[in-house]
Amino acid sequence: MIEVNDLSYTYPGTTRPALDKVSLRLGEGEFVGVVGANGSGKSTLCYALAGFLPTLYQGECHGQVQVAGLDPIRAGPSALAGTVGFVFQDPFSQISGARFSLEEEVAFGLENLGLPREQMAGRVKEALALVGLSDLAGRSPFELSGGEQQRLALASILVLQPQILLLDEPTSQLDPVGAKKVIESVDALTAERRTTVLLIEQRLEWMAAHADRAIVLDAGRVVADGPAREILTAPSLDALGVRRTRYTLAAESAVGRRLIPSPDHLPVTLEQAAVLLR
Amino acid sequence: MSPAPSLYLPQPTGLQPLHPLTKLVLTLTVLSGAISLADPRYVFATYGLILVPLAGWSRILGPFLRYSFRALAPFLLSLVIIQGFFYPGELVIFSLGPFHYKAEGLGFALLFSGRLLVGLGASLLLLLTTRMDHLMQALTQRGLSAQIAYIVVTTLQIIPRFQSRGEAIFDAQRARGLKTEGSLLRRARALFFLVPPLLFSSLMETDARAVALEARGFGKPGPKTSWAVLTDSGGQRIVRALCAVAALAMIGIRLAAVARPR
Repeated sequence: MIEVNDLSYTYPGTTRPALDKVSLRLGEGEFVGVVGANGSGKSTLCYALAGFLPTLYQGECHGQVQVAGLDPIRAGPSALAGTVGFVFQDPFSQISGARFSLEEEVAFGLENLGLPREQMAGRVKEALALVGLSDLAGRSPFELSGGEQQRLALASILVLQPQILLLDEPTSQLDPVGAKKVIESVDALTAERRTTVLLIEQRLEWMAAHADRAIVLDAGRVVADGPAREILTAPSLDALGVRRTRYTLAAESAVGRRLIPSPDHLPVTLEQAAVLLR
Repeated sequence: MSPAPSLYLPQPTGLQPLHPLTKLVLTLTVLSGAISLADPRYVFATYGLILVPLAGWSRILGPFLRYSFRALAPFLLSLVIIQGFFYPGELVIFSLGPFHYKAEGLGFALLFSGRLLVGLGASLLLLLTTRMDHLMQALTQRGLSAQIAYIVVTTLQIIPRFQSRGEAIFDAQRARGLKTEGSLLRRARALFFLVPPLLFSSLMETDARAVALEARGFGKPGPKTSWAVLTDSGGQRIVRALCAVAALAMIGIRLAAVARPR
C-alpha cells in the first residue's frame, strides 16, 4: 500500500534534511505507530505520503514514494484526497470556515470529491457517531471546544473512507477517556475496512494497544522498525528523547531488582503489565 | 470559541425560503432603483414601502431597523449638516453667522442619505434572510469559481476571528507587564506589540488551513456536489427575469437622463 525508497527532503531555507534516506513499506490494513523526538521528521513523513512535499511546501525532495499506486511527489495532494486521509495536530486550522454546521463541515470533503448527495447523509451520520458528536450535528463548528473540534477534524477525514489514514497526534486536545474511546473507534473501523494507518502519538501506551508495528525516527532517519511491543520497550528510546511508559519502566526496574523474572518482552500497557505479574 | 459570524436569521416565512439568487436579484433591483430615482421622496418611499414591509414579512423587522439606523444615523446626521451648509445653492433656509444653510444642500443630503439607507437596507435584507454559503453555492452552480466563493464566505469570518485573537494576544502581553491603558501614546505603543504576532499567527493559520483543505480535496479538479439543497421554482425564475429587466431599464433611463443636454 505504501512504499518509500531513499526519501530525502529538505525544507526551503534550511540545510539539514527533515527526512534523510527514509525507506519503509506498509501493507494493506497495517496499523503502524511512529515515534521520535520533536523535529525528528514524523510529521514531515506524513506530509510526504499525503503529497504535500514538495507541492505545498517546496523544498528539495529526492527518492521514490508509492502510495496506493500513486506517486505523491508528482501527483500532489489533490490527486490523493479521498485515497489518503490526513488528520493534523491543530484541529482549528482543519475547519473549512465555510460551513455553518457540523454535518455540513463533515460533508465538505465529500462535496469536493463529487459524491452524490444521497450517499452523503449516511456517511456523515456514521462519521459523527463514531467520534461522539451526533448530538451536536446542527451546531456551528466555531462553537465547539478544542477537544470537540479535534473530534470534528477526525470525522471530516473518516467520512472520506480513505484507504490510508495518517494521524498526526489526533487526540492531543482530548481528555484521556475521550481520546481512548476515539482511538478505539478508529481502530475498529479501520480494521473492518482494512485501512492502512500511520499514527503519530506521544502516548506510547495507546499506540502499543493498537499498533502492530512501530517505527522510530531520529533526525529524519528510521532508526528502528519492528513489532510495536519490542520497539516501544527498547532502552535505546530514552537516548532518542522518547519516554517509555511507566509500566515499561516499572517492569524494567522490577526485573533489575530481581523482583520478577525477566520476560520475553517488557510491558507497554497496563494490561500487558498485569499479565506479566500474574 | 466565538460563534461563526453571520447575520442570517432563520425563519420559515418571508424571504428566507426563497432561492438565494432570487434574493440577490431583488436586492440588486432595489439598489438600481435607488440609484436611478432622482427625487428623495421616492427613494425614502422605496425604503418605507418596499424594504420595511419585506423585513416585517420575513420577521426580521427589529434587527433590520436596528442595524440600519445604528450604522447610518451618525453618518446621515453629519451629511445633512455639512451638505446643507457647504453645497452650492441660493435658497437659504437659515443662517448661522457667516454660514448659510441652503435648500439645495438639504435636498442633495436627503437624496444621498436615502440612497445610502436603501443600499444598506437592501443589503441587510439579503444578509439577514440568506446564508452566505448558500448564496455562494447558488453562484458556483451558475459558474462562479469555487475558490472565489470560498474566499467570499471565509472573509466574512476574518474580522471576528481577528478580534478574538487580538484580545488573546493583548491579554498575554498584559500578563507580561505591557501597559495597554492610559495616554494615547501609551496605547499606540501597545499596538506595536499586538500587530506583529497577530499578523504572523494569522498567516500561519491561513497556511495550515490551505494545506488541510487540499487534504480534503478542495483543489481536486472535476465537478463538485452539494450537501445543501437549494429549492427553486418556475415562479422565482420569472420574478428574477422581470427584476433583471426592470433593473436594466431603470439604469438605462437614468443614464439617458444624465446624458440628455440641459
